[in-house]
Amino acid sequence: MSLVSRNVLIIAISLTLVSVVISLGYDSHSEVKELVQEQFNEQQLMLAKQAASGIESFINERVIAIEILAEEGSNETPEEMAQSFGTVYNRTDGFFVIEFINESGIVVSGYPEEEVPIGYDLYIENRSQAFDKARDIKRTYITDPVPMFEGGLGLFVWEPIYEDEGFKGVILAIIKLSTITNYFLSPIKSGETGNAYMIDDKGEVIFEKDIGMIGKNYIKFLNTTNMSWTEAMPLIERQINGGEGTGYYYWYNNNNINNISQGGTRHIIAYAPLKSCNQIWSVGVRTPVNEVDRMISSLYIRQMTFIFAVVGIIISWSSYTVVILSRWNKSLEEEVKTKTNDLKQSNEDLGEANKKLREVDQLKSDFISMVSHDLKTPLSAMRISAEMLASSNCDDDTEREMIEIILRNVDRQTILVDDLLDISKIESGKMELNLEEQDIFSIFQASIQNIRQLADEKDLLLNIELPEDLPPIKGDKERLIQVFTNMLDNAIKFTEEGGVTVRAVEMDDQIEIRITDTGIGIPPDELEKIFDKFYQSEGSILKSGSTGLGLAICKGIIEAHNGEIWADSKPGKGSTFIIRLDRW
Amino acid sequence: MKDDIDKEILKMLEEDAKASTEEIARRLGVEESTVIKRLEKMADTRTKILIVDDEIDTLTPLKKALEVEGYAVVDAMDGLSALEKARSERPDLILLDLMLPEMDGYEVCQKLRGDPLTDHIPIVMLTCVGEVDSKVKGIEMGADDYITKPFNLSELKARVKMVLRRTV
Repeated sequence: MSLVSRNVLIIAISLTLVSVVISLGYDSHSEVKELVQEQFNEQQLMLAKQAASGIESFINERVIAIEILAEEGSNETPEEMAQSFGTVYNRTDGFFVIEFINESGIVVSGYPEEEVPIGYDLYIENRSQAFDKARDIKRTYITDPVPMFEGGLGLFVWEPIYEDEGFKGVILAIIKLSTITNYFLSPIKSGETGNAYMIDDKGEVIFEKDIGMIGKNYIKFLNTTNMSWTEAMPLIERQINGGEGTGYYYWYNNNNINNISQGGTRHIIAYAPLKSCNQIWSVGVRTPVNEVDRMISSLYIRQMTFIFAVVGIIISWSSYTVVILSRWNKSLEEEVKTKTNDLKQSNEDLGEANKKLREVDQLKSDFISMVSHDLKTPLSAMRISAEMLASSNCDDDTEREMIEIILRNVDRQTILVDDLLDISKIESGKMELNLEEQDIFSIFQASIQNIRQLADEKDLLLNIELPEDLPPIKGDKERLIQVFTNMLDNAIKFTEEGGVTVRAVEMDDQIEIRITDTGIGIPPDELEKIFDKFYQSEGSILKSGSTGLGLAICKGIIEAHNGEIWADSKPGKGSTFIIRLDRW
Repeated sequence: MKDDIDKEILKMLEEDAKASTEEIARRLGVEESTVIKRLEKMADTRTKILIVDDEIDTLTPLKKALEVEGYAVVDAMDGLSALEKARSERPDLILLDLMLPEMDGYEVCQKLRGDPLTDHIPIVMLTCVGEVDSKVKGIEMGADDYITKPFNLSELKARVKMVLRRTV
């Protein structure tokens, strides 16, 4: 599979996974939303129920108090009754006034006195309806809340007093509804969006956060608005009929009735009934639906925060681990690399050393075969010649020739043995030098003595161009003569025309001597080898008759003097041998 | 070239056994001395030995010693001229030194063995290298015998005789 199609596959898989996660998330979101809404609705309903039952018991407690007053009042004078009223009034709250109305509908006494309109005749004022009702049904009768002179709504509780079937009058207790609503309804949703309200079984508003609504009829109100109340109407009807439950409708924002034409937001309404004697009311708790969304989103935010924190911790921990691991890996890799390199290096070193050893070994065996060849060749020449002499059938010429061969080879053998001894001394570092102050010119003079004849034979020029004030050098006279003789000898041997020139220059603490010839020169690839033992240029044995040790010995002697020797050459033009020796 | 001259001379002598050297030389367009030399060579029935050695001081006494023994001796001082001489002189035996400049004895031996003109000529290796493996190598290359320097002259003579007896 190609890299590109593999990448495409990976991207496709991740996109699929992402969409699956998103759809699962969306599903679970709506599930969560439903669940939360359900829970929320139940909670709202509980709130409504609590408020309803609170209000119910509040009113019932006061009704019972009035009933007790009525029981006692059957055999009490109006003044005594007023006294009892005072006791109840002061011990409980919510009462605005408690008064006694006699059997003919005239207010006789009450408490607190300043609120009691003594002598007020219900019949004359044509407000005897409730009075008559309470008398007739012989039990407590509560009229619908009515606005009071003092503001707010008042709840009128009518309690008939009978003394042995004889009607004695009615106790009228007026409860300030604001006391009840302040206790039970105002605190609901205070400081939050939404609010509580209360209507009675005719749809009259008993309590609403917007005070302007109080006393109005809900159904009439709903019919006059432009809003779509189709959802609201059945709910209000259920409330009026004493049902309980939850539902939705649109309601204006900010409790401002003037906003009603601007539409509104969907609210959730939880409602619960309350019953007190003949009154049936309904408490509603109204909350904007988006409150639930807000709750869910705050839940999500908290959940996300938690998830992100956890994921962040996991990611940072794992990336930290990854970084540490990779760093560890890297350092391990580096270590392995270094070790491998070290190994490679030491392998190479070993290989190199091995190669050198083999070279040395080869050199050694080459040296041995060279030496044995060079030693045995003159020996075999001498031996054959001697055997020839020994045999009797030899003429005079042959005899002379054989003797010459023997003598020549004895000399050759001697030189070779001397050279081998020198090499051996040099290689074992046992070359003994008698270091003294030496004049280069006189050393060259002595050296030239040895080769003068050879140079003259070849008709070559010998130029010694040494500066007159050349400072002396530090050296062993015999050894230096040996070196320079060898150098001059070589130069003459390989030169047919021209000559050999010796020059010298003064350096900081050395003297540089240059021996230049106009001979055949040395090929560049052989320049390095000429100082090796037994190096011979092709066929030079025949020409030079040397052992091939000369330059090696020269190098050894010069180096034993702490000097340097090297060669420079242009094949066909000539060679220059450069020697540097320490000044005295 | 030399072979051709020899053949021509023989042919003429077959046609006219009494033809003088002068006449032959004239007819072949060569010097009379050359014809005489060729005839002498052809008449030489001695066993011919080619000595190959780059050391003149070894070569000279060896040559003398073998000549005294009654052999005809030709010499070469390097590999190339050794091959040349082997082809032109057709020696009965070759004494071949191992240490030769440019082309060493092994190579010369190999070349001689690779040439139908020379592959039958027995070769005795002469060398200073006394190690066994070079002997083995020499034998492998086609040498018939091996003598290490410095050798006893009588031993060399004996060996030469032995090798010749074996091949003739």
